[in-house]
Amino acid sequence: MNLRKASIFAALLAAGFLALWIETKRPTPPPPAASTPESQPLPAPSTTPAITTPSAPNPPPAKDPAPPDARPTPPPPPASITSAVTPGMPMVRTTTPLLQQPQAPVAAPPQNARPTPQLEGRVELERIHSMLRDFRTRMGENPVGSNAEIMRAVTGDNPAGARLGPPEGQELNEQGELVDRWGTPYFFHQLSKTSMEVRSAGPDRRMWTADDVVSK
Amino acid sequence: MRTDKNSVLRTRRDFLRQASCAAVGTLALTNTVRDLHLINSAMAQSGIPSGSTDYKALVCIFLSGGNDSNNWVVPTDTTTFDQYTQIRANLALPQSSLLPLCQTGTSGAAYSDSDGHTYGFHPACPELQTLFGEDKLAVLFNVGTLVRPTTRAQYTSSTSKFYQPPQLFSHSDQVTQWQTSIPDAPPATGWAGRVADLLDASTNRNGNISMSVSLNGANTFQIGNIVSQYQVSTSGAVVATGDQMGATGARLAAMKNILALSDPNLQRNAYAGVVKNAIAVGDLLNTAVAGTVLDSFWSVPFPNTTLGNQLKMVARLIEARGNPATPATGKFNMSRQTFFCGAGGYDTHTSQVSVNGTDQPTNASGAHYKLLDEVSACMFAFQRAMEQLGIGNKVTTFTASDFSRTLPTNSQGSDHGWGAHHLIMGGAVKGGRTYGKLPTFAINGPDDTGLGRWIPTLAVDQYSATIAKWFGVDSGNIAAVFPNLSRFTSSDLGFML
Repeated sequence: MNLRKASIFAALLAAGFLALWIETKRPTPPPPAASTPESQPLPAPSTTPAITTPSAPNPPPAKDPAPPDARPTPPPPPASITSAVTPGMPMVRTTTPLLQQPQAPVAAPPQNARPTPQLEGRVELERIHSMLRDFRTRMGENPVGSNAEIMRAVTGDNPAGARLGPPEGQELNEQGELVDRWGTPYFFHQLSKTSMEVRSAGPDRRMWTADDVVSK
Repeated sequence: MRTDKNSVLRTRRDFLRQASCAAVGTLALTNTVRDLHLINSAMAQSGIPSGSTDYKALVCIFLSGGNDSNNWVVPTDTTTFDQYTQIRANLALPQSSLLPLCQTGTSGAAYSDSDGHTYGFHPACPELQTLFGEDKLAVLFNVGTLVRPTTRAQYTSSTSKFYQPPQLFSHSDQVTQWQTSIPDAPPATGWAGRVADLLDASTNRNGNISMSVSLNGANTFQIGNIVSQYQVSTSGAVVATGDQMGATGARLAAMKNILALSDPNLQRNAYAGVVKNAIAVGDLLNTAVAGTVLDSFWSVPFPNTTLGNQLKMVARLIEARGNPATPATGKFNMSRQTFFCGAGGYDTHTSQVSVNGTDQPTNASGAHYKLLDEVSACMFAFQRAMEQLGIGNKVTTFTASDFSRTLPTNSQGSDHGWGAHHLIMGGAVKGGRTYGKLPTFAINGPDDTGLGRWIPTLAVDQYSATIAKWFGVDSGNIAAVFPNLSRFTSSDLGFML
């Protein structure tokens, strides 16, 4: 009786192993688009060659009323943005396989798609907030004062003598103020020692208008 | 809210002893030392015969966001007004629109300070002009958070951190520092809370409500170690009412019956006592103020605004204060009270004077105009209400704010400043004059940090201590309430009788 049971058990075990072996030999289906971070609808800049290829700078838009002293070309996106889309992988890998998935159609980026100025402004604001975060990490609180005073503190006039800014690719004007891509000094709205609202005047270079870029 | 002392602790002295022991374990050393001093003072006072039975109240009106006091009180002498106009640009008020500060009434001889400046109120503030002319309102110039007296040279020196309050220009930090009056220490208690800790035991022995009442939610100003702030809405205390308690009140009655049951567990007993007392105080309050809800009760109706409704409730609570010498059921029987009110919207970075896309500083629809219109009308109604109750000289109202704002325009408004002008109102105020010194209206001038932000010449500590002294904090305890006060030359700015 025991021998019979053992035979049945052995047969079932062998069948199980066989099924498992067959399963592993099958080609792995690609993950469904909605199940991975890469498949999320991506903002235009992260899927466009302009962003993924730093050597192909975007010209300013024709409607952009950027003044002569404004920077003509936006800087490449920060590492934090690219890494958020494809951690540890080249950007070109992110779009191609996804577009090949019939069951997970992803809207193709519009022709000549490129980041809007406001979006690029937001990227720069993220860099500023990273700078402020680093400052808080070292000093325990936000720098205070006007734009120039804040930048003086961030660039070394602090108890640790630490130089934590300006953010890569961003500039100070002659007054020592951090300026946005359109050449206007940022406005730092001090809410608390750990919270700072940063405002860019946007393409029209006038604060408190609809095209302002703001984050906190 | 006051707990039922008898059910939890036998005497206030027991409570203070326990509170002082608890404080040792929970507060930072410096704060503990200061607060223990307060507790000891309170304990000492609790042993003396019943304190004063006269009534005094403080009312703080906090203008959240940083009021642009540069347009609240404007110098009108030609030289200074020209400087004002040049720097303020689109924010500047026309001289003809300003309401002159007069020695008497609203049309008497112009008031002039020792520097020869004459002044005018914002055109939205005719009520303040009236009160100034009645000597019931004083103006205090350029007061702000200071760690120690600070000059421009010190502010701009390499050791400026020694002088600057932490997180200067930051909303929440400056609000906290204004309300603690200790800018260079972690916030633990507010200055009104410390005053309450000091005075409540001796002055409100028969009181039925907390000495510290807030009409504007939780605040730092009234945080104490002994006396807790009691929050009241503009319609009264929020008690166990409404649909959830049943239309007939059956559930509330059942709840009260349960709370009245004796429980062998002391903690449950204590908790039941707290809840029971909260309901009782709420009921008492709502009953006590029921007769003063109608506008017709008041000689000057309160504006139906956020601040107006708060001040109206303060007036109603004061009307129900009772008399501590002859305590009565249904009254609060208080001798000393502090009230906290607040209004928001003062962070006018943009649209400060803009109406329909154009800058119109005198247009009544402008954002800052409306704010000042509200505070002026509300303060006036409140002062008249106190006079109606016969205690116009027993209640002192004062303004506070995060900071003032930059004198230069940012094209659409003004940004965070530092030193500000404030108002003190009441019959006990030496009104009809200004105190302190108007800043020199010059960018990079002696009073400027560099951007038209005034370096205060008076500290919040001095401002608050002057009021606290009138309220009853004696010279022996003033340093315990305001530990930084000795850093400044004067502990009494002289604006109180």
